Amino acid sequence: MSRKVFITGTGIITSIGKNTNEHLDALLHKRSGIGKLELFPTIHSETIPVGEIKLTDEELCSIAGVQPNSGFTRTALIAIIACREALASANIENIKEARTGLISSTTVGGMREFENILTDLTDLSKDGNFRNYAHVTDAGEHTERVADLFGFKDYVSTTSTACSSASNAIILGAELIKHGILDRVVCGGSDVLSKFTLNGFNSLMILDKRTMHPFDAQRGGVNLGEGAAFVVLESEEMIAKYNKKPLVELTGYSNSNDAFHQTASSPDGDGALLSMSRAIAMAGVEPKAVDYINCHGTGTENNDLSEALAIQKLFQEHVPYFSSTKPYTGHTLAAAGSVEAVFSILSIQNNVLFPNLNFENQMPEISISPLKELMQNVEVKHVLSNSFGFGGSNTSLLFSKV
Amino acid sequence: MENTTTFYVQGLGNISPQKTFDNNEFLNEISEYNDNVLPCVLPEFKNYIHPVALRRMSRLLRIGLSAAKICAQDAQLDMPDAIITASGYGAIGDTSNFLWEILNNGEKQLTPTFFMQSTYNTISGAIAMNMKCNNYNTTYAHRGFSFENALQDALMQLTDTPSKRILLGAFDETNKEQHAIKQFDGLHKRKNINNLTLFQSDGLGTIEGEGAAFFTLGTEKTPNAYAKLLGVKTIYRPEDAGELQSQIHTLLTENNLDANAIDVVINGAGGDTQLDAMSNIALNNLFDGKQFLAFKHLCGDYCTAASFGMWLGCKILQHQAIPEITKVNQAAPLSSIKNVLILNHFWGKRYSLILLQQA
Repeated sequence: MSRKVFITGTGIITSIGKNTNEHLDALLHKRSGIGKLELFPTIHSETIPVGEIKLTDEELCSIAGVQPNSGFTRTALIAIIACREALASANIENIKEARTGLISSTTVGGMREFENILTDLTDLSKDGNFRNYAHVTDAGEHTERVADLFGFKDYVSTTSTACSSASNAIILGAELIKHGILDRVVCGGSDVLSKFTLNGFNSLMILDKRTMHPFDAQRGGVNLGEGAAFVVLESEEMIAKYNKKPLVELTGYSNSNDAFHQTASSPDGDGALLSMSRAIAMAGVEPKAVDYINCHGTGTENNDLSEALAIQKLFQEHVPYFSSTKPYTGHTLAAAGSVEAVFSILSIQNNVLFPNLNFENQMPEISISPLKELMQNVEVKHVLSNSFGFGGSNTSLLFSKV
Repeated sequence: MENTTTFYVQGLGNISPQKTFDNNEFLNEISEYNDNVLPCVLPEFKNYIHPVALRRMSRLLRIGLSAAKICAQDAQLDMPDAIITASGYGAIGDTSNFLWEILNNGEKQLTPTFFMQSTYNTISGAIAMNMKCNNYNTTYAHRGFSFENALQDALMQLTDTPSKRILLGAFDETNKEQHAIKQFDGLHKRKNINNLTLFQSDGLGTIEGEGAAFFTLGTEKTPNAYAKLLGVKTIYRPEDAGELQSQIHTLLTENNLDANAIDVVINGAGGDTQLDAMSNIALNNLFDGKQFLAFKHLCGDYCTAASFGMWLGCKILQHQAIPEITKVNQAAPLSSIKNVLILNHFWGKRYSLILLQQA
């Protein structure tokens, strides 16, 4: 059984690009995807900026290679696009040549389509193409669309732990490999903008009407984004058998819970501290070995303070560089863990640290501040990636140079 | 996966359309329904949840949290080492409430609580808060595999750390919009039947159910351990009954058993003869003459209904008795019940196996 788990491929689509290379380019050139919401009607389009993928559903169908209006939700379409890139990037042509799993995640699945047709769907006298989207509200639907298109069969699963979902998908994937149940597994998540999530976060009054300012004293909340990202996890045996060169090793991971509030983080960051310290301990390294933290950093009053306090407490005089990359993409909810896993991998591969855009004002409660400028030509060996969510969910992943 | 560790079901908490919340009873009274939607028989929530907290909670949250508390009490579990939940549709009630508000109020004057309680992990988070548990906490939401994925996760954790005790549960609630959609597609019956006649009806579609079933899992044979959990397997889109039979054979072999060793077969048939066909063929081929049981006439069908099947298996092994209401056939009486196999399917595409043994 494999003791180690390697990452051999990545695939990603968000408001800043349709593949991994476009993301690296946008990250290096500080190109944010936050802007005006254009692709679906809502009363908030003029007032609430978002990270929107500027491709219509028809265009996404064309890129994904499926027929329009045939039941593929936007969530499924971007998942297909990201999954195809991840498989190609890992040089996987024949899914059936090894035991291969797919673990995706989402918060609202096909809600974007469902919210438009709910009234018609419940009218038993109405029929039409919209019925192709009858069963899209559950989280597992998009996963099966991806599975069926590419032929995943050995293990199909979906996690949904709000904004930490994709990170928990990656943890399950790693465990299935370590226990010898799978040889390789594609893990990640997909979420698109919808009236449901936009209005949900707006009702909680945590959406910034400007571009978001994580870890800033003047921060005013989060910008929502949309995206899908997958990473390919493979066992040691697969790496040896196919003579593969892994991108990074997944050396640590941990999941803990705040047990504090349904939607808010505990103010002292206890849950975050636990998940970060356990992930680092699993890798068998000292906290000071961590070169960079890709933070959850949602720009909300509550998250950023609690996350920063946890970082201070854990790393003390050795606080590594840290930033939130959400000002680039917006918060892609369930997908955030895998989107930021891809960024963490890019950081290690390219010896580069991505800045925390829009940071200006030091938070008075803490003595640390995020990375303001891009750093290149730095040796990046260990990157910690945090994803926290509603329900008190805290998940940390540690990626390491091979 | 070859198991060298032994896993025990150390506690149960089941709220379902039958009166199952009292662990001292075992299907003593049977509830009948006549409109194809089976709601839970509810316990007194304030026995498990503080009245102040209770007021803000949705119906599903009350049901889920109460089932979890019943289970933890049953197993004398104060601090789980992991909380793992599973749900096909999650908090569909609050999701619907919030969605209708958006549609009816033009995105204005919305109730944040509906949104806050709409995530799939609402209940796992609420259990953690209630038990002040900072440990591992996750939620699987993959249709008819949700519960089985959760079991798989738990078994891996217990293999790595046998000292752990895990609180694991599945829940789904009835929803009138989803029921209507499924009636249109023929997945649910349009013509009303009595739930107990599910398997004698016209054979098209199933009936809608709900429930929350929790299990405490550990590696120690506690005094009131119900059963050993030998293994779990998911089978996605099997081609034919042969593939199901081969997967059953693999699971049995991994546990040094053969088809003959199985005393009771619990079939998660939903009453739709077409969708049930593959399971029925596989089971009849392998287990001819064995005692067959069914349960979806009692709880209805839903994504995580296999959890009701597992509860049934655990109770049968504990009581060493089979409720007549669950029997599909009258096999030769058993002197003892040692091995129970559950085969569930969801919409004929997602199949799962759960293998239980007398504790």
